[in-house]
Amino acid sequence: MIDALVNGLVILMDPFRMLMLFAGVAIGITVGILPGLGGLMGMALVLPFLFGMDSYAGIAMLIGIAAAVPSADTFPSVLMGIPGSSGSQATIMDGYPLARKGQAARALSASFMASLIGGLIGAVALTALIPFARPLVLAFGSPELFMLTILGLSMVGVLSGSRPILGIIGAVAGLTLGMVGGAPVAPEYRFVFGELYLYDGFSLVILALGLFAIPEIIDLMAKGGSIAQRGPGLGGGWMEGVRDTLRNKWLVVRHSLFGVIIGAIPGMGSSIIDWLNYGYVVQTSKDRSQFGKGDIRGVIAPEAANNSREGGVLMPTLLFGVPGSSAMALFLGALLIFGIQPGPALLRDDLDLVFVIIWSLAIANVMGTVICLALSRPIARLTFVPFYFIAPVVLCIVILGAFQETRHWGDLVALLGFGLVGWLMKRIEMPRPPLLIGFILSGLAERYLWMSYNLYDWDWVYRPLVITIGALCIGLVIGGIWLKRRSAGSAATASDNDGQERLADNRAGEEAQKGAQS
Amino acid sequence: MKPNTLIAAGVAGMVGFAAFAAPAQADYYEGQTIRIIIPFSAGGGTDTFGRLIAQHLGNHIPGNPTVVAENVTGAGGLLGSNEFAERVEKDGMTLITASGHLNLRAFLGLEGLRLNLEELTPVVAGPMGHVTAFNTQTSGVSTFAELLESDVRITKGITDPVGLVESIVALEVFGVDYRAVPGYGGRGDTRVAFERGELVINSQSTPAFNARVQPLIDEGTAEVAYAIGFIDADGNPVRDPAAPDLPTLAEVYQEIHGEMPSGEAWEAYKVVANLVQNTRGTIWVHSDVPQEAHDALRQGVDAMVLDPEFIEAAGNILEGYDIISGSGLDQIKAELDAAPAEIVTWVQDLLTNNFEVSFDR
Amino acid sequence: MTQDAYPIARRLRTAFVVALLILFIAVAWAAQDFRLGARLFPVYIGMAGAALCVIELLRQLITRGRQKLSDEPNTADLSVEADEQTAAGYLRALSFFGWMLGYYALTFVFGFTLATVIFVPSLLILRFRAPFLASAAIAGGLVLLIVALQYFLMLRVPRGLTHGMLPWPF
Repeated sequence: MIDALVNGLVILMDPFRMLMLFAGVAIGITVGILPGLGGLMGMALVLPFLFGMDSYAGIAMLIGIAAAVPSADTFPSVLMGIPGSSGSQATIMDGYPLARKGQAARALSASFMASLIGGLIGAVALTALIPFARPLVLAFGSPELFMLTILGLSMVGVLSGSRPILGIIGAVAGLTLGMVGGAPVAPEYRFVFGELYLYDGFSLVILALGLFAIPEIIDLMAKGGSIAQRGPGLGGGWMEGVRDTLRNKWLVVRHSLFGVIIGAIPGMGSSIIDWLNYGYVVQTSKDRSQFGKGDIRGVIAPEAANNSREGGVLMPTLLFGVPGSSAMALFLGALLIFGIQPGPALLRDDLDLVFVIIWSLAIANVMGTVICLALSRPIARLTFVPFYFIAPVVLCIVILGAFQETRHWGDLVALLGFGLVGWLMKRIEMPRPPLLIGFILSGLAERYLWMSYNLYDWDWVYRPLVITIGALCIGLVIGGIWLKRRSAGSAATASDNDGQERLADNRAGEEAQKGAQS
Repeated sequence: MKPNTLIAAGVAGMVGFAAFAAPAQADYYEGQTIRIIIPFSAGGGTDTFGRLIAQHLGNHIPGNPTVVAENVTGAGGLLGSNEFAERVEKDGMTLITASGHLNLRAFLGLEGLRLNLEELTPVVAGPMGHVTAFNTQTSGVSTFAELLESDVRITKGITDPVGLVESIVALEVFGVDYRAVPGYGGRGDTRVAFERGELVINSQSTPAFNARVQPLIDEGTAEVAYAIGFIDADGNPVRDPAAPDLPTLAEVYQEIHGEMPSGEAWEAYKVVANLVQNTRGTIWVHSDVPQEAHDALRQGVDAMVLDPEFIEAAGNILEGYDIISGSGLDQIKAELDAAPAEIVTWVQDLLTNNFEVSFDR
Repeated sequence: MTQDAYPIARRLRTAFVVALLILFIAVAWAAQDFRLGARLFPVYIGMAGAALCVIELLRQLITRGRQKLSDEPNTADLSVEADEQTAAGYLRALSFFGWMLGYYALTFVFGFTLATVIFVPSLLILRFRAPFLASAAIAGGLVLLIVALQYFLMLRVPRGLTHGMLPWPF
């Protein structure tokens, strides 16, 4: 194993391969920054050039793309409240409020630092866990996967804040929206009204852009001014973000490992990972009053996880030849071009290649972070420019990004429609994340429930892991209610916060508040 | 997961020095661009096959046209297929890459699909076999004959029933009483579920079987039931060239029952297995394009398959099978035309009764 | 903060929940004809959604005019400022949806690139009174970006009715 580790690095150190790795990172950053485009797009872009290329160089390039996208997609999420790709939706929740407070540089650098550590932990975890990954992957059958979708749905409670009923309604509306198109277990197209465009259902990318990007662009144009409502605060620079991340190092480690594990379970899809992590960090934090208003932990947790997950999704991809995410499906296709058959035999016969992948992942994460950090300072200045100069550019790019989904006018209609719904939901203060979560989990929940029933009738509910996850869901819901009660008093008084407030101050304030109440 | 629809176009097969080496009389494809529609998302087996052909075909067609592969995804392949069937000029400038199962859908007349194989001519095709295995741990039996006798619940993962039809018809030949579990995303997902013990019986493409199911057999948790195998020009079953050691369905049947399989299921099997497996990747052109186009395409393919550069590139992608060109294509076309209507009806009824699939004709 | 601080939002919230109630009932109703495997999920989810909507409407009815915990600032989504919750704030935002619709209309006729050339300076100059030069520079930069994205990232742009009648790069 050690010699394969060294061999992998030696193989990768070839100048051409390093150049291709770098090219992959550059493409990944470009498609990551552009809203609506993600790793899938980047990989599809280079696919035609892989025929005839050196296989290690080609793989390095693809891994470079996969590793760089979750770092770079933070830019639009933080700066404009626009999901840069499907993996950075949750970053908006706290990253964007920070940018509005003039702390964009802090949020970005904290995020990139978390991404770097997360990415490296993902690479190390892939190395360390790959011998044990098989039992992990095999432990999650249809019943367990169904329970995981329930776990995701029970996050809705905590992500609905002070509006639980509206949040749950939103989640149910998301489940309903997810039913459009082909049904997962029967040859039936539901609610398509004869439109071929609807046969595949709505696209998550367009839904996310519509719900978050369009309302933000519209409201910022309507309000005037710049994204940042205040000038850059004292010490609100990029070093502070790095310090934020280092101060929360255990949080980074915890969420990186969580990202790896959820990523390694095939069949869940990777777009739910950042929401699960966001819900997890909100759930486990003592002081929750600042989440949604610019709590740096709400940036660090999902960003650590969305980089580390690439280490996780590679496990089922390499071990079983089943894609852990849609971009990995393309990666599998590329392996086919190079004549590489993923599977257990790969670990036995071609461990060098596995380590080329791992090294590429680690190096690409470092490259991606360095480039993003270098870009973050000048790009963060955009938040101080009058927004009407930025708005048409962003609108144009969002429309262009949405159009790449199917290149059909339906994409544009859906974008505008979801934009109107998202704007309305924002105005009536109905939380939008539950709708997105419901949408992502809709097909999965239906599919795995039917499969569990067909496989085991109702006996599946007695499986130990099912009971464990079920208990976790109940604990999450009850814990959520209890914590909400406890922090309700402090949330009511901490109405106006001035952005420069430190978490520690808040926490102290909350303690004092509690003391005063009792 | 929903297939993420995305279209990526790749320009392949550059024009070269066509301008300098202009032949005496103008070639049909001189200075033209051939567009190959791939109705699937980038990265899959059929997509890779289409891209391989797009990369090399232009160099060999007289006049060296540019060949562009374009993924037109959506509605499970309907969008791209219907565009090709109804909305392109029939001048030979647009081709389509179909998978074996898309061909089968067209053959059976699946609801909503406008592709009609009777109006198309194959340009080039690549075959792919399949192998069925069963889980010995979950079932508690070690041979397929015992499995047929036992009363364990034989679970079979269903992705898209039409996409698994050769394995479903094969189970019908044996009269296996299985429990269908629909909802799996693809054959890869069913393989993981099979390895986990959720599914008792599972069918994989032969390359996937060799790489990922064979280790389970070596480990003792699975056993081969039968290879689907191919049917030769005379209608006799032959072994899968990528798995020459595995007995075909007919051999296993003979061993268990002492006679060759017969009846409607067997007749349907012979048609379906060959259609799906011989045309795993197929490039089609409309039959009523000008004769010059047909000639030029065939000339191009015949030259391409002899090109050492193509052979090397194709080695990985065809995964142990030989590409089908020339007379092999004529045979595919002939088999399609000769398929009896009652067999089509039988397969349609099977899919409708067991899986509620609807057909247009 | 009393509930009637944002009367428009409150009425819209009720209207939105009513609309969702109708949607959920329609979903559960329309699903009756589906095959079994496609029917159960929409029927039950639709009924659950409808029940939740009724509960929410009852809650809104009961808490009318009363200050309740659930009418405090929303911590689960980006917050909205007070001046946006006025009638003028709503109209201002809606007018930009109108602009966006105009962008679509231009795209439908002229294709995306030319539509951008017309739309961006119009928006900047007519609506924001931006300097002409800056507006032209942004439009020009965007066209360059669109062309570059088409060339390097193989993106496609929506085509208009005039497709094929205009010179490159439109």
